Parts: sequence; structure tokens; C-alpha cells
Amino acid sequence: MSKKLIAIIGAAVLLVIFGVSTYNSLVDKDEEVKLKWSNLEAQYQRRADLIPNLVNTVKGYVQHERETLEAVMEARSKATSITVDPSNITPEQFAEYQKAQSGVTSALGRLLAVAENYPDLKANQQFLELQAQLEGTENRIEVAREDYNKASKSFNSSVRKFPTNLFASIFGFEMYDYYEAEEGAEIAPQVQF
Amino acid sequence: MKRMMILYKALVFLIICFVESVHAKQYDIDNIDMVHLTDETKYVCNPENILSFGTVAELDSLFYRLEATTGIETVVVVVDSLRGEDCYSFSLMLGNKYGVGSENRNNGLVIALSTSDRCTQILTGRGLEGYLPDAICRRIQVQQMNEHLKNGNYDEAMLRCAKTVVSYLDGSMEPEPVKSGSESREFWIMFFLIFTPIILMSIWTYYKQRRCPNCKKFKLEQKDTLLLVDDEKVRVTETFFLCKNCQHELSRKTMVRKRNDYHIGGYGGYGGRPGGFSRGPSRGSFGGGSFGGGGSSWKF
Repeated sequence: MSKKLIAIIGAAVLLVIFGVSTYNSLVDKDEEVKLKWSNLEAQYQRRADLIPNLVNTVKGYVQHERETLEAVMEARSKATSITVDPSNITPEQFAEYQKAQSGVTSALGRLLAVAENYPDLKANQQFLELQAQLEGTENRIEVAREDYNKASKSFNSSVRKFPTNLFASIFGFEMYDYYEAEEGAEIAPQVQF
Repeated sequence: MKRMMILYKALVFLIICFVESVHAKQYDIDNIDMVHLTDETKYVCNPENILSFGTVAELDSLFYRLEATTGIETVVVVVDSLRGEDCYSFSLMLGNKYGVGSENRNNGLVIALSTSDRCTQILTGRGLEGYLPDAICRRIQVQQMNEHLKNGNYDEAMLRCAKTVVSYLDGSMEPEPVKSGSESREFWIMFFLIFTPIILMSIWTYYKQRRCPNCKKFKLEQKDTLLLVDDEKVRVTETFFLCKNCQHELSRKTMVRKRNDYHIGGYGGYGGRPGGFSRGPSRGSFGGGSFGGGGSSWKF
């Protein structure tokens, strides 16, 4: 009888130890996803912060492109109005956020394409450097997006795999959505001189 | 005759293909030879000799000094053509693959130039983005490099780029202490893995020896030791024990085989290190840094 009891207690202790370590590793991975997401948001914010400067610089040179400039500002305000917590969001909201951000990407792409037609603007040092910062930010966004997807994939596969999935459902861990590649965003806006 | 012509044409075609493939070698991150890994004083991968010998030496010494004073790790790649990549993605993949820069500080720097693709890239690790912002990288490319690149004067362009980059990074940070935290942790883990079993086993043998077979208590005490045999090959001793608990007496014999080493004497004299002749250059290494996409690319 006592041997049985010891065996049961032993099994229970093992189960608790396993449960605790599983829970902790899930928390680590969850935090990793959140960290990557906040990094991605920081890069989007950086891009949003650069846009007013760019628009002000471009404005002086391109009088006839009011529409393009307005489209950029509009896309920017639309994107900055949506804030997202990736752990507590419906797929539709997530898709909307992605759409808003890719709207900024394509509006900026159009603006930089328009700038091609203005040699004075292209020679402006401030424009050149703003453009470098924008390209750099687009590159960083791309890297941050990949990092987020990688972290989410690692978390999601843990949540789905046996026996972690049992603990994940007990503790209420849910899977993260992936960030889809933006259409036409694979190519960062680049201007050839 | 016709057959001979076909054979001849095929041969010429093959030769042309071969020559072409030798000439127009395209580089990607897998087939570029990382010279720093074989020689820690070299930083410039220049497989097609696009840069002159003197330029490469000057760049090497610039970046060696930079690494010595700041810990910043640099890779410079100058090739004719990149396989299917632009300068940015090539540099990013290369930097991340080899882990240029230290793992904690991400202070790697990749400078790439592809002459046929007419692109150049200054890629900064996450830890360098503050000291060498994108706008400054672009300024270097436009003001220092562009004119020389357009004229095909790649030596001058790369030298100016390197000098300006180094002037921005000089004094930006201190080199890391040689022994990092993870290394010393590994040392302690190894230490415990090796020594814990040894300590446990000696404790176990000690207690096993003191256990009385009669009353099962650890009360045996050594009384006397007799030397039975002691010749060139073995040494046998008999030890007498008395249990303090039940007064049980017992004796144990131990035999120690002696090492058969009396004929070895006289062979010495091989000590010392194998001289300093064949020692090649010290291998370099990268610290495992990663890149977030900072820097600037430029088409000339």
C-alpha cells in the first residue's frame, strides 16, 4: 500500500515539475513573440515619424503632385490610428492592421517614384538622406516582420505539439497570427540615379 | 568530315562555356571565401582582385585597428557579380550567416561592392545604427564613393569609404573583455560534470569500507595493517577492522599491481613545443552578431 502511495506521489511530483517547466517555456516563447511584435511596431512608428519630414521636403519641389502627397499623409494617419495587441486580436483586425501598413508602403512608393521626375529634388541632400532612412526603415520592417513570424511559429508549434498542447489549453495559451508578406512590398522603394 | 565539324564545334562551344564560367563567376554567401576566418588580420574578401594589393593591405590594417580599439567586426566584400541578389540582401544574409559582430552588442559591419551589378552597401549591425545612421551611410556613398565608382576607380572609392566609416566609429565603444559570461558558465558546468561523480564516488567508497557486514552499521574502525607481499610486481596488504558497535572483527586484503615501468628510463628528452616554423596565421572568428537591416545601399 505504502509503495503504491509513494509511486502515486512520485508520479504527481513528476507531473507538476513537467507542468511547471512546460508552462515556463511557453511563457518565455510568448514573451519572445511580444518582444518581436513591439520591435516591429517601433519600426512602423519610425517610418510614420519620417513621413512628415519627407513630405515637407518634397512639397517645396513638387507643386503639381498634391494628390500623391495627400495620399501619403492619409495612409499614415490611417495606419497610426490602429494599435494592435497581437495576443488579443481577431484575424480580421490583424488583417486590417496589415492592410493599413501596406497602404503606407505603396503610397510612399508612389511618392518616391514621382520624385524621379524632379532633378532638383533628387539632388537635395536632405531628400537623399531622408530617402536613405526610409529605405533603411523598410528594410528593418522586413527583418522585424520575419523575426515576428519566426517567434510566432516557434510558439505556435509548441502550443500545437503533444504533450505541450494539453498544458497550453489548460493555461489558456492561444496561437498567434502570422504576418503575411505585403503585396508589392517585397521591393523596398528604390530610386535609381 | 561533317561529323568532325560537329565535334569541333561542340568542343569550341564547351571551351567557350568553360572560359565564360571561369570569367563570370557569380558569388553568393556560400561560395565567397571568408578570409578573416583563416587569418585574423584579414578583412577584405577580394576574390577577383578588383582591388589592388596595396588597397587591400591598407583596408585590412584600418579594420584591424578598428577591431582592436572598439571590438567592431568588419567584413568587406568586393566582387564582380552577385548571384541573383542585390547588395543589400547579400550583405544581410552574409552578416547573419557568419554572425559578424559580437552577440551581445551586435556591432558588425558589412561593406559590399559588386561592380557588374553597380551596387554598393554599407550594412550596420543593430549596435552600430546609433553611431553610423543610415543617412550618414548614404552621405558617405554619395559624397565619398559615387564619383570614383562611376569612373571605375574602385580602390579610391573603397579607401575613402573605409576611412570615413572608421572616423565615425573610432572611439564609439570599448572592446569587450576577452572572457565572456557564457564561456565562464560553460567552464563551471564542465567542472561540475567532471568533479561531482568523482567526489560522490570517493564518499561512497569511504562509507562502504566503514560498513560492518554483521550489524550493517557504519562503525568499522581500522586497527592494523600487515604487509604480505611487496615485490617488483605487486604489493599485497591485509587490513584488520573492528566494529565499534558489535565488536565484529574482519580483515580485508588489497592488492596493488605495480606499473611495469623500470625499463622505460632513459628514453626522455622529447619535451618542448614543436618549434615555431610551421605556425600559420591565427584563425579569426566572428562573435555571432545579427543585423536588423540598417545602413544604406546605393546604385552607381
